Amino acid sequence: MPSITVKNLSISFPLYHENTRSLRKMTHLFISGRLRQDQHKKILVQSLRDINFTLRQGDKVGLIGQNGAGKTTLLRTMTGIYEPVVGHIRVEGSISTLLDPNAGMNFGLTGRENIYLKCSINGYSKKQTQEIAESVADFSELGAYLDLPVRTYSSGMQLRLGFGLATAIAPQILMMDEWFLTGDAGFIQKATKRIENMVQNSQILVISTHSAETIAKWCNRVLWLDQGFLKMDGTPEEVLPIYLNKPYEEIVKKD
Amino acid sequence: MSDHDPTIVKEPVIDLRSVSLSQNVKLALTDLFQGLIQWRLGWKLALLDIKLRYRGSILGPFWITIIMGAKISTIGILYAYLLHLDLQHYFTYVAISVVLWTYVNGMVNDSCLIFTSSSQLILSQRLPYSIYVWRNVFCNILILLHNLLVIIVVFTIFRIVPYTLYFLLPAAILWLVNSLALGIIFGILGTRFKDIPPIVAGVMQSLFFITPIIWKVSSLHFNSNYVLLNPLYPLFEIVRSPILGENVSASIWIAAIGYSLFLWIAALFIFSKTRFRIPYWM
Repeated sequence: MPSITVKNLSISFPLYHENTRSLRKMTHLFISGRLRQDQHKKILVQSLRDINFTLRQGDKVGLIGQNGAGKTTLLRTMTGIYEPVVGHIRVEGSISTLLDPNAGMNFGLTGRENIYLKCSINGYSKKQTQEIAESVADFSELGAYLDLPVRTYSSGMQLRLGFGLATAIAPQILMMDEWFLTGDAGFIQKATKRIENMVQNSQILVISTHSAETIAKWCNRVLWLDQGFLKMDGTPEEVLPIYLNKPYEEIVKKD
Repeated sequence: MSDHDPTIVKEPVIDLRSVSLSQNVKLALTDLFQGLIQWRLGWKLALLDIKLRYRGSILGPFWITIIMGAKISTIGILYAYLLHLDLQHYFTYVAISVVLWTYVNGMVNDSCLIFTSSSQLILSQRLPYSIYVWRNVFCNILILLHNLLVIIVVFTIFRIVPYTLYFLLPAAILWLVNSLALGIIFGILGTRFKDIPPIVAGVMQSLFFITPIIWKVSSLHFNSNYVLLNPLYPLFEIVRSPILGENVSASIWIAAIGYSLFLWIAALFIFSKTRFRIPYWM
């Protein structure tokens, strides 16, 4: 059964090129208490601080917090990209991440070549690759453009290709950033339909978002990150009113 | 999309925590092993790299061959004339040496950017890091294959038959293994320290003149054993000599294997200690 266990997790980034950072940024980080020195006198920026939670089958989690609160870092850590120096993380189940629509996309290659490349990166079989290629061609409606280099695409076409590719296979654990809510109205509508399908089929969902509407619609649990700390963990009805500082009915009604 | 019963399929598990150095060595070896299993992916990425670089050009990757041919002809004819050397002998020597050098030089210089140039992929998906190293090795091997055409042409023109090819197999394996180690070492150093790529380029420039590539050890005025201090010399010699029909002394093979072992110990040490840090440096 898919599950995610995070124990005493802290992630900090060493700053080696600190003199190139702006003084203003450094001062801000210093005041907020997120800069510290380790035993080797290296300067560290703490992105996540002592995070604990467990996600089980059926958990649809909305990750909220200000920009820079550590949402993307947490998503990447749960995908196994950042290996923790402090703490422990265990993820069971197949994972798919929608962090960046252009992830692994090569702009010199054609759309079709990119589909095949992505499939071989994920280690899919020939049969699966064929199915994915069809599904992406169908969703993206690129037609003959699929055999032209991606750099000739408009940004909307790039988004359709990247999105179609990332959402072609439903994993057990789905982690996504809210980039998919960009684009024209027609695309958002189509994309939402495809995502909803994926969300229903995935057993655990973690979505990083600023939109209360998305959370109210898809999530049954909210993790609120603040300055790298896990500030609150509960149902949307519990967390959202405090986060947005208004009654829950008003949040849902307004959207 | 798998229609299997989920209870039968063994679910993939990621279990990560801060571990001791010995466990880190194990993780590094696992990474290398997984990279080896997935070598096809590295090969595919390398093929695309080369294809992309020459897309739209009429001669495509054969420009590599042509440039190499021009370079070898210039050096071969010019220095044979200037230094009063036997043209046929010197030309074949230079052809092999320069092709090998181009491989080493490309390998080391490209290594510095292995991880930085794949940062988007590294930050979006968990893959064994050794895949990126294989990608670079394969890329340089593909270039080497194009350059080998020049050697074949040179040998045909001068009607030379390689003396023996038996020793080439162990030599090629040693070169392949060392390419991986170099990729790991310079890949990590180049990601961590932004000054490494230009330093490496500078050092390689000097190494080109220090190593017997366009000159021969037999032309030295002093004890030629000092040349063994240059790690590149024995590695070049184990490939060059069997083809040209020169004797390779045991000391050269011992030095070649010794330097390779040293390289691998360094690579494993660096890889074990810093592998998990690579995405943090992006």
